Amino acid sequence: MNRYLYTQFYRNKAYIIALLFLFMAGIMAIYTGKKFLDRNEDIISKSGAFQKESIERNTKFHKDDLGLVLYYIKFNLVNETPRLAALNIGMRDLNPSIQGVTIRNLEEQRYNSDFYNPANAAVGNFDFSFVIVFLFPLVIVAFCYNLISEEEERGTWKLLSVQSGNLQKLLDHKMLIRLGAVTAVYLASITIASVWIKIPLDLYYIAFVISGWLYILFWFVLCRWIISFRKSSAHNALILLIVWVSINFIIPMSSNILIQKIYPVHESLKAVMEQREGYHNKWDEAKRPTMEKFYKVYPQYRNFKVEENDTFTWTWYYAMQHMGDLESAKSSELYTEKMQKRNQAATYLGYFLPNLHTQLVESHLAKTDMNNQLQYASSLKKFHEKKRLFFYPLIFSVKNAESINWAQQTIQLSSLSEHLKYAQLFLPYLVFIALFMILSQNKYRKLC
Amino acid sequence: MAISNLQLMVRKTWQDLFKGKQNLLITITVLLFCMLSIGIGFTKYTDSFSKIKEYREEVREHWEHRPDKHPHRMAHYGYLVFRIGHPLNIFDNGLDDYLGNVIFLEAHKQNTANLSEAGSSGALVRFGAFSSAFILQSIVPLIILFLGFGLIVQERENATLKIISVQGASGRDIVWGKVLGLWLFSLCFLIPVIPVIFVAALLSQTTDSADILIRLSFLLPAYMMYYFFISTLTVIVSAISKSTSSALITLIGFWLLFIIVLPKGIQFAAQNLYPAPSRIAFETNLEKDILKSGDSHNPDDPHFKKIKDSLLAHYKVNTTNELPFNYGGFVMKEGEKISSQIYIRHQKELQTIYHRQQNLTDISGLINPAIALKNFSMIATGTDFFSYTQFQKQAEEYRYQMAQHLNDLQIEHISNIKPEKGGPPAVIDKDNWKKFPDFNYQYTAVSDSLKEQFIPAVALVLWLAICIASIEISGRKLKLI
Repeated sequence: MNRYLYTQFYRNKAYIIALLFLFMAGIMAIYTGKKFLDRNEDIISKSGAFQKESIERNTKFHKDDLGLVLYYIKFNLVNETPRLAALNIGMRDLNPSIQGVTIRNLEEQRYNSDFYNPANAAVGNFDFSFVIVFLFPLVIVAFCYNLISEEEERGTWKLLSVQSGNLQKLLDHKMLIRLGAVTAVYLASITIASVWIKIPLDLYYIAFVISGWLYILFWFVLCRWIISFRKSSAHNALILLIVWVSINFIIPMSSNILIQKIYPVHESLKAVMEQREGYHNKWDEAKRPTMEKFYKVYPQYRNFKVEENDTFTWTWYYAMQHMGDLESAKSSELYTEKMQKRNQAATYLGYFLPNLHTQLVESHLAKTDMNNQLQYASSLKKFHEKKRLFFYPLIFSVKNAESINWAQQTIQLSSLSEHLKYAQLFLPYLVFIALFMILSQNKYRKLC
Repeated sequence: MAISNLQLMVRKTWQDLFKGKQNLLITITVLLFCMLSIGIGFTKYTDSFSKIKEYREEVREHWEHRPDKHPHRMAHYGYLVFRIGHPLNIFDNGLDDYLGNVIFLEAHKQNTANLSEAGSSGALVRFGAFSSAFILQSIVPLIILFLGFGLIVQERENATLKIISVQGASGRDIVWGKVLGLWLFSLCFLIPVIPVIFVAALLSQTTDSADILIRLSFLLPAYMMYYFFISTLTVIVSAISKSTSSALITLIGFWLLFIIVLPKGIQFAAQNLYPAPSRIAFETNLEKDILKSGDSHNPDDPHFKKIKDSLLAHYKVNTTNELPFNYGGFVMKEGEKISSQIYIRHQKELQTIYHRQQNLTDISGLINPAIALKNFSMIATGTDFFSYTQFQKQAEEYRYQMAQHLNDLQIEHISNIKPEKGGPPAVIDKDNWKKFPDFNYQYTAVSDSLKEQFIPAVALVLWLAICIASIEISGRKLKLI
């Protein structure tokens, strides 16, 4: 009997084509990810050379004027991109994985995103997570929607219920065969990905694989429940398609626009305006108050005095620059808060939508989510401050450019580690799977 | 006689579609969703518009109230310009979420437009934004497929097709009748949305009614053509299929192909065929080229040394301090001219890459009518990439004027001799600031956008022709049993 079920499944050309389609889509997605990683690595490796070149050029041109050298030189901080990011590009295509900043005020520079074609960004990346979230369910639906109804429509259901001792076991076996086939495609793609992209087999990766598989399982269990109502094939297909369209398009899209409306991020524009006023206005104001504010933040530089009738000193200049950051700090923080709120709202929504949850979890594991972006922004801030505090005393004491060991000023790597909360990662799946299992079990009991 | 047969078929199909309570419910739900999205979009748009208006006024006020200043300091104080999308983005969000909203304009430096909505959002934004355009482009076709997949094949299964034929309707009448009936029904999703959009866009008070009307008069026929294609596809697949379920599965396959698979695939191909440089690479190359052509900040630069020598010779003086105008301002003006030319050249190269990517998508409209409509809809609502580049272009022109105007002021009014320590500073009167006009962003005219990107429109017309031809063919070949 079991062998018969296998043959029945694998003889169906449409099923094999669907599995092949899924596999091809997976390979294409992995290729997309590979391309993304290669480009990213290329950018980062070139940036080291760019930074070196720029230092050489500027220290040569303005060797007596360290203040001016540092006006121009950009220091790059890399946001480490895990290999896993190839499987979920997330927001990394919009937010740069490397950013260069001068020691002038940060607020003016930090919002410089990488270049991207908005038309491409709007379509979205064809990454592996996309294949899991959008395409796998379709094949699962196509495999399962008529498991019972087909037999009924063909008139073989009665025959089956007479011949088979345990209908539920038979149906579950059919479903397991399908689950096995889909899982095989999933694992094959994942294996190819890990060999091709050389993803290290760490906890993040394992959690990634499990979350994808649980999502697949969720769809099987959902199908199990829907077909247990014993409606017609067309009806089942319609219901499952409506679920697919609703959770993949309608609910996330409308939530997205609602979240954008509820948490508007005008603070970012405000911060841009404030940093500009904060810095530039100081040129027209008395020097004393600016310096006092600067000394208050950095008392260690109090001995670098600026007189009111000095024409121009770099001490005053960089103090003015810092005022830009200082006066926009509040709006900037509010902006970050708003982004966190947006993210939080999406996370809560994810607990109810396994597809969104998968997208969020996988981008979290691949460090391509907003959380990572915010963490990177805060390490960029620290990096910027460290650079400033290193160069301030040298500039203020009018050192020349040759007194610095520039070889040490290479690009730096910021690697952010995420603490994995397994309950948060997997519980939403397990709850849904258990729920639909119980519901369908209840229906199945009445089958025979 | 043939006409009245056709009319009968159309009326019958249309009435059948309307008779079902379920269909009426679907229509109402879809329209409700459309209205809801328009409502949310409208409040969101007016909120951000009022904020941006406030910010624009604040920026202007700050600019006008700067005290007496050196013109070059003013040029670095610069200007902030904000982008506000076309009000029709209430209907079609287009690329709006992915476009930068503010540019800082200053002397000899071109900054990019920053802070897009997507950059401030998490992964949720990648699922897309909910808009009427999305519903009308993606969801309604799905509904049409569901309502129409059985139109012919079911009649054949019930053997009523033969009866209709016996009563005098030709195959052509049947196919045309079913297509037109389904199409007329599909217009119920579309027609009520248009006046609401018109009112909402008009209430936003950012553009005049003529502009909105022209844009809508492009949109409406485009969507009508698209629905005609969907109706034709549905009926023809229904006519060819052997069973209702195979008709449905084929149609869902088409939907997936047109709405999900092809757009992503084309985008993927475009990115790989025409790779774009990263920001860091772009900026480094730009810096290199600018340094090559002449660095106005470098006293030993040969280009500027030549200018200096010829100026000294022309005015028969020994030092630049003796020149009758401000030499620093003159050098800066020359530097601005060179650097902005180089920037524009580099920017053009980048734009060309994006343009090629876009072009490939446009051409894919010839195999995918959904893309043709999507791109056409963005063009007509002014939310396309071309319109955005016009904003960038206007901002860059304004920046150049501002920088050169301030350089001119420096050349005319600032002395060559640096002020002594504690002496009167080298500044010009603050009245000068008011005289420089505000930045006034003009929406790109829809005719310009259409001229620039005509392929989607051509593709739509082509698809209309293909539809008519295939209806004729399948009408003649219609199998009755």
